[in-house]
Amino acid sequence: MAIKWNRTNKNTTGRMRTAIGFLSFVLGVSLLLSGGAFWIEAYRDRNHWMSDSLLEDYRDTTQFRNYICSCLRTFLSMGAAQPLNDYWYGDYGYDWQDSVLEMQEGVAWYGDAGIIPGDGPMSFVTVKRGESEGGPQSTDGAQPTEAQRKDYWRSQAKKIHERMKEDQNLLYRIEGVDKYSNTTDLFHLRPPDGYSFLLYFDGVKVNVYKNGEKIDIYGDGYYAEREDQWYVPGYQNFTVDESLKGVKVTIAAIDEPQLFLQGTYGKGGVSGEANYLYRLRQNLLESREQYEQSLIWMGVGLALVLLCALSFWRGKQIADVKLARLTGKLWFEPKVLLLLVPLLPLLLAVSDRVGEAVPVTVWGDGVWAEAVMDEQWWYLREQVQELLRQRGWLLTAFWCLYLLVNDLRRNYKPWKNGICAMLAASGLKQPIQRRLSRVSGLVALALLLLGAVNLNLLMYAASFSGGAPLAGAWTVCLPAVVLLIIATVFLWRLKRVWTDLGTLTDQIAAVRSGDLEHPLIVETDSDLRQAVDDLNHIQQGLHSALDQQTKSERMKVELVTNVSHDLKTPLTSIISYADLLAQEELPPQAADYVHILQEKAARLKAMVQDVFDISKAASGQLPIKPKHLDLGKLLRQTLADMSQAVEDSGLALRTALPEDAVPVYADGDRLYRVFQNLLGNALKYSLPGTRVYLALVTQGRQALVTLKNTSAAELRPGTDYTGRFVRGDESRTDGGSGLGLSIAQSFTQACNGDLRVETDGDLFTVRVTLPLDSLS
Amino acid sequence: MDEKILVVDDDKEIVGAIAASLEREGYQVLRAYDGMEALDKALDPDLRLIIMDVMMPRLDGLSALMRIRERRNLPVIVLSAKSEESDKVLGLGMGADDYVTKPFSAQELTARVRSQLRRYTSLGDVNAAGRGDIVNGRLRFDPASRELTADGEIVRLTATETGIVELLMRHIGRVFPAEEIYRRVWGGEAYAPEKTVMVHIRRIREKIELDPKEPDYLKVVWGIGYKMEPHK
Repeated sequence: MAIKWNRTNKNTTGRMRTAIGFLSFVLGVSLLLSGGAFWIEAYRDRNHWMSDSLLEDYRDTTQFRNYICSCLRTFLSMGAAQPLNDYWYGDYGYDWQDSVLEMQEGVAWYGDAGIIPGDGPMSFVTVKRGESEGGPQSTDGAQPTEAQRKDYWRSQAKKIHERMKEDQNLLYRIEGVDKYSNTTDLFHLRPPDGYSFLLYFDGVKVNVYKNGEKIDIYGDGYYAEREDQWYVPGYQNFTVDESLKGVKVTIAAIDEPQLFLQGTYGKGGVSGEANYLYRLRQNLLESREQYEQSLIWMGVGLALVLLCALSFWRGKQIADVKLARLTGKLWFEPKVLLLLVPLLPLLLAVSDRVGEAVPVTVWGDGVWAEAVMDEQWWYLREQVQELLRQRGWLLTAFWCLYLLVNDLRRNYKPWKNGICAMLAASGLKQPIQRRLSRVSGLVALALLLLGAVNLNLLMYAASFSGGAPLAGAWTVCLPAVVLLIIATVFLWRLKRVWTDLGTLTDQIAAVRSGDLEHPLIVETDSDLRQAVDDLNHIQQGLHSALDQQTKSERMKVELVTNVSHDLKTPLTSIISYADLLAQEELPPQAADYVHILQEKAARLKAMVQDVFDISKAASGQLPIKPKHLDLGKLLRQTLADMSQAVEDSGLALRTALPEDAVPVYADGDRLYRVFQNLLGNALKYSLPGTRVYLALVTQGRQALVTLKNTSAAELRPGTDYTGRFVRGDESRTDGGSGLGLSIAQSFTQACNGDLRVETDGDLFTVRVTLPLDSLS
Repeated sequence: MDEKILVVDDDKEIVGAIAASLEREGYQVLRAYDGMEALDKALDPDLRLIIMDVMMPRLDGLSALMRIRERRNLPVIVLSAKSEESDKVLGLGMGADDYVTKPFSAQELTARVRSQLRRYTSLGDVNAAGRGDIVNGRLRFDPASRELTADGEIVRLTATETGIVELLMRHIGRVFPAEEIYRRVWGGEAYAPEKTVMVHIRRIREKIELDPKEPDYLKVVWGIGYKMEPHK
């Protein structure tokens, strides 16, 4: 019990380690990735938030500088009753707009406090293009007079003053043809408390003071459109024009910006658009916080990844393997398609060429249709770049890729489980398996197409805003989806059927070739369970039957061996005493009797030895000592050995033995016995005066020995002459044991050869085939 | 002759038959019917040879053989119903000088007895033979006089037979194809050397082998050639 407990405990710990390892890896990498995405985004935006947000005082930032510069420009125009147009960018096709307000709108994302729909800053100050250069045009097309234009410019300036004067973050005083100020206690070089930044334009040059100290803003005195330069007149190559000379402007910026709102309920809202500096500073603080947080999260991510790598790497790998096992069950092609889809935009982003290579498909209205139909790849690329900035996409793409790589790495040939593999049906042996596999492949292909069409439909529906078409699409898609699921399950089941069929067929083949030891084991819910059970029973039955047979065979051999041993001892006495008798002086008749006794004792001795040999050979206990030898030579030796017997028989022996060596790898002693028996048979049972033919030829990789003789006795067709104790003459009066051919066959087979007997009328033919020696 | 031979077998008839054959040849025979009895009888100082069955009650033949060998150096012929090669090897390895499988004929056994006794008594040490003699078991060939002796008796051979014996005795254990024997003994090529060589080998066997049908020395290696089997 205690052991079991321990084991369970260990398992649980292992599972815990796996879970912790994998989770920390996923979380850590995700955090690092999204951190990276944030930084990419920050870099791509190319704003000054990153460098600016690191500065302690918001008034050291580039954005503050730019704002102050454009304020100065606007104030100068206001003070000189000149148009507020921005001509400084004219050469670059810069569209006419009030840059101060434009910047305000651009930065107004913080809190949205200043933007009120319908009462936006743009509608307040933007002048339509047709009204540029000098205000409204009279209806009859005549040019407006100088006074009219001045009036218009003044009204514009007043509007701006109206908007900006509430914002006490920026104090200003404009002294020129017209005078504007939003404060009473702002004097040259003497800003009020809490306003430690002061800019004073003396009509020619700009003087900047911070905390009472003058700051040199001109540097070497030449303006070179550098980012860190103040975009204000006063440089050697950038002076103020005549109309603005004499206008003096003082600007003071607050230390701690605040929100200044004025309830303008009468106009239907709250005006607070002008709190530019407040929003600037809040934005800076906010983005600084964002950077800090991002760094913290990335640090956490890094720590998690390190933790996983150092302590839980094994667990993570186990989780990978489990994951791969899961993904391995899916068809390869849809899996790859699904996992690669998030990566597709990346390809498009790389080049227009790649984009052109993508087949032009209308995916319904929306991004795709617009991009693809109009062949506006730049538009698509914009979308892609937008996508790249999105952390969700980045994470999805990364983890999809991770799953794919993990699948390819940990699963052995994952494409073996796929639609193409099913269609190819490679590795399947049985025709039925191949057919099932191909049909399944076709169905799966159809399913894939159906899935694609469905997905397209859903995408099309999703490209509409609002949910109604989506619901409609689902209604249309639902039957298809249900069909998809059912068919997938069906195919999965079908695959099991043909896999089981394969193993079943293999098992049948194995049983056929003699494997009776290993039963086939399939899952309990297999469709072929019954057939497998039946086969296992047959196998078991065969096994026990064969066991019985082997056992009785062995007992028979033992019996024969024992009997032949027991026969030998009395036989020794018989032979010995017969010999002794033969040496005695006996009456002639008795001497004849003794001679018969000796002869029959000798035959009995031969038979006992034959029986012993055959029982050994039949039980497969015959020791074989094979050598590389020449079959032709062996036959000649045998013939030489038996030449006396051949001569005595009165038969004519016709031999056809090749001069060249016929190499075989066999036991010479056993083969000698084979041919001795065969020749002995032929000599003994041939019709007197007939011819015996012995021939040796090679056929392909085999040596064939043929021995033909004409039988003296009538050959009964259908007799198996190689059977034990079978002989041509049933009366058994000849000198044979009936074992000669049987022994010859057993010994030939022991040498990997084959012996066949054919009869045709009185012609008795024995064919012995032996494999040629492969070494020579 | 006062040479005594001990015959040991649990089958009294076999002992009787062997004894009758040997007594006919003029030997004195001691009889024993199991291993223990054999140990007692083996103490007889006139004893020259032992014929012993392997499978016996009380003490089996091979164990008895080992015990006797501890005390006396006598030639021993082992009888057995087993004809397997491994049994022969085991028996000879245990110190038997010869091995006869049942059923055997009286002539064969007496021939073997005669051979053993000659080597053991009259010749004594076969190694005392002349220098340069080739000795293989019962056989000794003198290259100088080209004479072959078996158990000390000169074997009368024809010129061709002497040539074959000399070739095989000079390369004991090596297998010669019939063609090579023919070429080296007769000189020249023959159409069917196997038959010619075989005829001569059979004649030599009849002169040197104890049982020409089951030769111990001049052997056929089927499918390859002929050789002189090495003996100790």
